Amino acid sequence: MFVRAFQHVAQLLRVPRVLVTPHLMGRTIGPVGDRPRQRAVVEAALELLVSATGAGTVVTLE
Amino acid sequence: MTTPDPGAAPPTPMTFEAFRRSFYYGSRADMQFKYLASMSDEDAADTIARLLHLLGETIDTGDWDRVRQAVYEAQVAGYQPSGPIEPAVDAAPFQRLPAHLSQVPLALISAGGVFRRDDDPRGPDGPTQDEVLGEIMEYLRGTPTLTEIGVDTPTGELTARHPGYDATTAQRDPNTVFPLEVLRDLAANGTVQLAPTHYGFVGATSQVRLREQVAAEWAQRLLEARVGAALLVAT
Repeated sequence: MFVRAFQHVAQLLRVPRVLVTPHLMGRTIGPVGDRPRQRAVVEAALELLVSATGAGTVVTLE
Repeated sequence: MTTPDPGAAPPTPMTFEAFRRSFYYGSRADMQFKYLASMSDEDAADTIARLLHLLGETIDTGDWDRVRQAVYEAQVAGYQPSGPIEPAVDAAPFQRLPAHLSQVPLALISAGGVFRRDDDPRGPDGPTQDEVLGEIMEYLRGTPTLTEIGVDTPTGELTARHPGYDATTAQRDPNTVFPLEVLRDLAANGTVQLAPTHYGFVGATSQVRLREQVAAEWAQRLLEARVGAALLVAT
């Protein structure tokens, strides 16, 4: 999981599955104390783990 | 109040370039805004002016989302690569999940510098978050250390330290970069199976040492722990 500002780093490292989150750096999973948002991000990452069909799959979360 | 010395040379005016560069490990070091150092004077001035304008409005409106969004957009712009990305590795491995998530032990690996308060990788008198900013070059030249965090570790026993981002956020809520509590909730309803051990390290490190010295060893540790899938969190 990468924040949008560092999405290019995932490209550099050729990470097999990448979930890009629209969050500030240092808050990849979500804002402090925002458990519903953090859960939604982790669920999206797990969904990507299951559904990706090839290397370099990138999903951008809204 | 001191009396000015009429014979003293006048202080050198600070340039705007020196001001914006001071956010990058300088006298105004601030990991939330260190990208100002790499912006042009004009872009940095526009960014600061926009943030101050929104801040002024927010005093009246209380609408912090606009401030947060403006900081986010500035961060995204501030870290964009100047040219095309050339991958640093040849291989792009991919493997499908071998079974349902509930049958594959999953490990969390965070580059956010999270560790147990009673297992500080720098020892019992490890540096503070402010102090570690002064060690950024040592970190970028050094070999990363992988710390282990048991699956049942209470969130209150976790903390973080990192020379590349403001880890006080993760100190307030480790789930921002190490969502173990969230994963435990998902495991409780059978969505996922968690490995007994999870991992943290400081992502600001020698990428060559990480790739060529420790990555294989870390992968072997995961295999020995029978981990079937890993969730990596960058900061």
